Amino acid sequence: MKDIAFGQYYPIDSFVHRLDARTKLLITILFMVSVFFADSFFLYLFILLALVLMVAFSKISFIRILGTMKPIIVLAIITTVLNFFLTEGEGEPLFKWWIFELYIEGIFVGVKMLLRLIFLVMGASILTLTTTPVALTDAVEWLFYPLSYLRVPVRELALIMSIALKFIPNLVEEAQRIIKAQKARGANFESGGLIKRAKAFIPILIPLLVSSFRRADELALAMDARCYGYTAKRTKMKKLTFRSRDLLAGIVITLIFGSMIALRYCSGVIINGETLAELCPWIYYGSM
Amino acid sequence: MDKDKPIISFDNVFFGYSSAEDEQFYYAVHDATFDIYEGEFVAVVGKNGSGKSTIAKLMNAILEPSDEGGSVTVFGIDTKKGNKYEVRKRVGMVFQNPDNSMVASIVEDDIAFGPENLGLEREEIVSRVDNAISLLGIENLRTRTPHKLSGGQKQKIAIAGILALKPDVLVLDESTAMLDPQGRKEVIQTLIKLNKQEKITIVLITHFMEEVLFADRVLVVNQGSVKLVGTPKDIFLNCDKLIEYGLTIPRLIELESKLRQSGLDVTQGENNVELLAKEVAAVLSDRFET
Ligand SMILES: Nc1ncnc2c1ncn2[C@@H]1O[C@H](COP(=O)(O)OP(=O)(O)OP(=O)(O)O)[C@@H](O)[C@H]1O
Ligand SMILES: [Mg+2]
Repeated sequence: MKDIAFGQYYPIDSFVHRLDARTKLLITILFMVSVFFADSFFLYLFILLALVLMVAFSKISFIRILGTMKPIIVLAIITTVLNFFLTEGEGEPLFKWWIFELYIEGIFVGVKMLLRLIFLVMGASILTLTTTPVALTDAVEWLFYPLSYLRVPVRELALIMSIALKFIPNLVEEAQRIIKAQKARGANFESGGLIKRAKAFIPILIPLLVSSFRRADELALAMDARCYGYTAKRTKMKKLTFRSRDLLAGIVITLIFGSMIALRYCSGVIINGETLAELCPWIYYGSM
Repeated sequence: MDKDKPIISFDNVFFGYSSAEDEQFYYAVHDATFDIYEGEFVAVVGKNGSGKSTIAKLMNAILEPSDEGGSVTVFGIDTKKGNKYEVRKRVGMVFQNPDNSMVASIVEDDIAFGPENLGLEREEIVSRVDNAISLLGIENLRTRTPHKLSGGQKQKIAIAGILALKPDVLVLDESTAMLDPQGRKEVIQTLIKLNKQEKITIVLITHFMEEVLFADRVLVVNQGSVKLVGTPKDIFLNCDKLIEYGLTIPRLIELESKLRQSGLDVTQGENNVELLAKEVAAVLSDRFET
């Protein structure tokens, strides 16, 4: 569980691992935007293609990436079921039982939402699995650098982010230890209603908070001892550099998503007297 | 190297906290006076709450003496007046829990944190990181994630992170306390190597009395001041005092002290069964002959 929690960096060597973190960050953002642009099943194939390429060139097993879905399985199922039954369609319902009615539109919406969720989580996971937190932080810092002209402390915020990422496994471990300790004292986290269960977590949250403050205190001391704040011109050991592979990856991904978005908006283009949507309806099957 | 040249001097140092509970003012360090000399390996011992950590923090200007509370001089810099960063650069500090002193999720990135703070050129940072890694023999851990490593490995990384600042003195505040015996041994051996080969002055704060034996000199702290100073041997000849200050004595040293009390003149003062046996034998055979 600790290994895959939040898609922690997975240290191997691959094309995707070697890409500049900024490239990966931009590709991920483009990927996410595209996921929201795709609205028919055919257009989803473009997303899938990009995803398959990203997974293949990262040398990370598909199972491991799917594993990062685990924390949101329940959310995914609930969303899908709600979309199935709460979407009203125009024709006859395919299925009717008590107050539940299932329309073809409901299935479309539900399946598309599910795919979106899966794509988004997988896309984000590939980013964090293949990029060290330090590189990711540097990329975020680069992306938001213009804000520093508005006196936003971008560097400090980026450092805070990387330290927070570093401490996630420590906190997960600590939480598990506290849960065990409370269970040994007879605490019960598995039974009772929602409110009762939520209340049962207070004895976990409070020790966790207290220990986090202690950690923060010690960390501040350790940072002082390592001369944090010595100069305003902090330097970096690893400088991000764009290389030809970044250009290559950028071009491929832009082509894929560019053609997808273009197709979506070309439904009205007239070819030989017919619109593209009439000519090739399969491209737009499932869109509404 | 000059073992007569003090590099850290405490001059009648006082340091106090005001307690949150009863709004009283307590001295954690009370009239402490001592010197640390260049190139030595010093152990600092004392029971819980005796003020060891406070003394350590005074050594690298994380804390400074109270007003009118004496002075701490480090490489000629008065920590109250001088540049604190210059002090911290020269006196590195390693803490008890390595998890809470690391900032990055990859070993080499963490080691680079100190030199990055100093604003050094990239080549210099890389060379310092390489150097620290090879000094500690942790080449195999370079690109690993610290949280999956053993306690001893993590503590070595924390030490490497400090060494990358190129300090002259390394202060370790109970840095072996959370380790298993194997990890403790590895860290101590590393410290001995750094002291002998790299001529780094070591100040080892510990409550494991066995670790005291590796030191050139021992400072015994009680109630915020240094009560005893001497070689490990001298210190262990003073068992009664050590017990009075709430310290536990290694079994063998205790045995020796009991032998002395019952009239056998042994003065080994080292936690070594063989040496003690030889000495007892020598003393006894002397007696038979006369
Ligand atoms: N931040 C603080 N606020 C109040 N009192 C403190 C604080 N830090 C230390 N003290 C008190 O100062 C005294 C000396 O503490 P210090 O941490 O230096 O002892 P120590 O010898 O390092 O103990 P230990 O072996 O437990 O680490 C203790 O009585 C402690 O309660
Ligand atoms: Mg202490």
